[in-house]
Amino acid sequence: MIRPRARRIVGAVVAFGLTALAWEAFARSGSLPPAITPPLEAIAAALAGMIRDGTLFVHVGYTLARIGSGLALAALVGVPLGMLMGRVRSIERFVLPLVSVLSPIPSLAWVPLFILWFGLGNTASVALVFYAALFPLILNTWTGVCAVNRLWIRAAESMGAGSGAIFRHVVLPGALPFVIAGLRQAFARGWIAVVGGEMIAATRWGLGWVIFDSKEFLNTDVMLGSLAVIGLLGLGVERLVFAALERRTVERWGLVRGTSA
Amino acid sequence: MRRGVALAAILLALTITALAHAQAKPLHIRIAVHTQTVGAPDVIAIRQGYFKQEGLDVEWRRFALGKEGRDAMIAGALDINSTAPTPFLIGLDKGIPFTAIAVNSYFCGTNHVVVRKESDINTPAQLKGKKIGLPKGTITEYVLLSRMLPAHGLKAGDYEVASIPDAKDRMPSLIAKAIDAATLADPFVAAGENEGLIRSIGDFCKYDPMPFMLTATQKIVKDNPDAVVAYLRGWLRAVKLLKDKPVEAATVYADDQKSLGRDTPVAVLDKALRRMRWEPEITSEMQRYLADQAKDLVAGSVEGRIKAVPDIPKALNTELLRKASAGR
Amino acid sequence: MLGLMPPKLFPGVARIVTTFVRLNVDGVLPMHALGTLARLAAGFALGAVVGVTLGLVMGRSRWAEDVLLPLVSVGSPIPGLAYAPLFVIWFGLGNLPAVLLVGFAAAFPVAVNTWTGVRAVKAIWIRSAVAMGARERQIFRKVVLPGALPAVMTGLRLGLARAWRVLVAVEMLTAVPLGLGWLIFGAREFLATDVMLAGIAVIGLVGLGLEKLVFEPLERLTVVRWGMLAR
Repeated sequence: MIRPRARRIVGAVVAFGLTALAWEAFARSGSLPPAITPPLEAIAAALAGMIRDGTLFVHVGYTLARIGSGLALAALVGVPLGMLMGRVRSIERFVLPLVSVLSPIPSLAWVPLFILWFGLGNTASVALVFYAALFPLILNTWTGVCAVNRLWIRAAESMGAGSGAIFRHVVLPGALPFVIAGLRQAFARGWIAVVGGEMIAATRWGLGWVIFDSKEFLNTDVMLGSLAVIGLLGLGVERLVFAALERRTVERWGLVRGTSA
Repeated sequence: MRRGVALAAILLALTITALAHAQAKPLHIRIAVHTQTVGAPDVIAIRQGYFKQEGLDVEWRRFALGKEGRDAMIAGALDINSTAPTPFLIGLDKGIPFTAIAVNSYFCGTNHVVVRKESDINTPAQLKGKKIGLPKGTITEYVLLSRMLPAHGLKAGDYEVASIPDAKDRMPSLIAKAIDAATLADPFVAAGENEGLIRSIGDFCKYDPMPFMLTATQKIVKDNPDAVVAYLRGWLRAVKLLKDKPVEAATVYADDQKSLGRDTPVAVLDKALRRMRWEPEITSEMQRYLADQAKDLVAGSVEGRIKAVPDIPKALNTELLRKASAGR
Repeated sequence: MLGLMPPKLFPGVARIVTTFVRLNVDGVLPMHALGTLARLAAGFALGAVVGVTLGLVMGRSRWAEDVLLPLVSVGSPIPGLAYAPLFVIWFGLGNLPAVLLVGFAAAFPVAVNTWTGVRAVKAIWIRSAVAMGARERQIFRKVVLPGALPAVMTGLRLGLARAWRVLVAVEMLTAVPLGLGWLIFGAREFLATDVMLAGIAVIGLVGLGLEKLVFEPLERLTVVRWGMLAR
């Protein structure tokens, strides 16, 4: 039996190794100028440059701060709202159509409104992140609450638990697997919103800014390097935050079959 | 006997038609149509059928930025695109195989500094202490900051700059009072003035002619120069219409706008189009202009944008335009 | 109130409705909307199939999960537009790259939710099935698949939203000649906010329509009837 940790590392190595090989083959095939499809060493060199002069960390810091704030706000609003939707029929009937209408609209379309309300600057881009992250949280939390096993609720009732206790000890933990899925989705959408939103943040710092600036000047190595950083940060948060959270809560409680088991 | 003759006649007619078709097989080209006024000749040529009349089959797509067209060109999806000198030079520096085949236009007259209608700003000198929205890394930014504002006595630090790369966000930002002034191009300026929202306090012609380059991939120039010449012929006819019969040209352009759901009056578009200067020839002055631009980019007003001045004469093709203008 | 919403930037509802009607009567809106809807249907269908398959595979096989999860985690936060140049290089401009890109982007949220759903299938159901002598294949088809369905449905909702957002943005880049993306962004250029909002209204209405006419009935016929979801 191969140890799960080792298996995970091998899996990641295989995944990234194959992708890297495919890219190298494509880049070196010469079908496009090397400035447009830089080989991995050019991308690595560009990143190394940004690490050496410290700018990468500043950019990452600004972007993470914007995502973090937007995500936190979205969680504060979205999770309770999703739970209420699952419990109170009238709230569900009111919120669900709104979510269905607003969710598919690209944040770029709201930019004029956001500029109007928040001016140019960080507030507007955090607002965009909030808007993007809100809907996955609401939808997944709502589904989670509705999916809680009725049996457990009835069992708790028969043991004499009041509705407050049922909520705290049965519904909340029961919905948690879905809430975590919602967090994963919200995080991904938040990234996408922040990269677009940093255009109206009127700032010199942030991974989104780096991507647009490098695209402007066809510095594809920097652009791809930044995208790789975003991807890696996504992977990092997945392993260090979401998977860890799952391990400590829903997996331990047996609600979810673990990735680490 | 009569049936035999009839049959032979039909066969002959069919053969001749087939042969004629084979010889007149249409040339094919893929172009980018710009949504700003620099794309007007393309729009007009397509609508009036000028390209078809030259035997050219045109596959066209709209692009809001010359840069995006250039990127599609790089991906091998387009043959012809118009773009400003800066993206052109950056592309050359990075080894993109494209050539300038003409000057699309000089758009300094359609590039403005605008303020809200009710604003009390009337000249650039009054921008002291104000916030200006502009697209970073463009020729507009460069000319505004290093020529226009200094000419009115303003130096860096006398004003605040807000980088708003997307033209679509600049007008809302201005109306929303997030900025006090912005740079904006026609036809949006003409439309905004017509709606009573904004006012132009000046254009860029005193400081820079602002050319827009018409570029083609080296591939199409090599493989199918006849198609490029046919395109230029159709394009030149549209330019002629714009110069000789501007109102008629504006009407065609307005029809195109209608198909996009916009109801802009012909007079507004006519005003905007008249601000353009159409002079397709790549003059030696133009070459010098490009060389100077390239030098500035190397020196890098911001962080040395290109590595070295590219070989500009090699990237220019005046032959095709000459061929297209001849025989008219 | 006017200061908060200048009329040119924020036309009143009456203005939006009249513009909406005008665009429909002129045939402009249906022309653009039909193209977009067709691309959306194709792209979303592709993304749904790929995403559900991926999620199921990841949930079922540890090895698949170990190889695929890093790729999904890395790929999810990257904006769909960032992948667009690759698709243009491989497929040119037009409908094909747009549909493929939309399918690609939509697959991610679907896969993540499906994977969660498979892992969250109540262990006791699986144990009962085993106790009743079911083979692995049967367990998968009769227990795991239906068990994951609530999560999959929400994944599909999110995938659809992602498909819309990427499609509208991408319609400008791959420059399809007719499309809502063009209408909306083009209108913004001219500050024709009424046209822009009319276009956006279509997106919202279609989103709502799909929710009411597709997702909810589907849920009612399956997971709600089976007692798995209390809606």
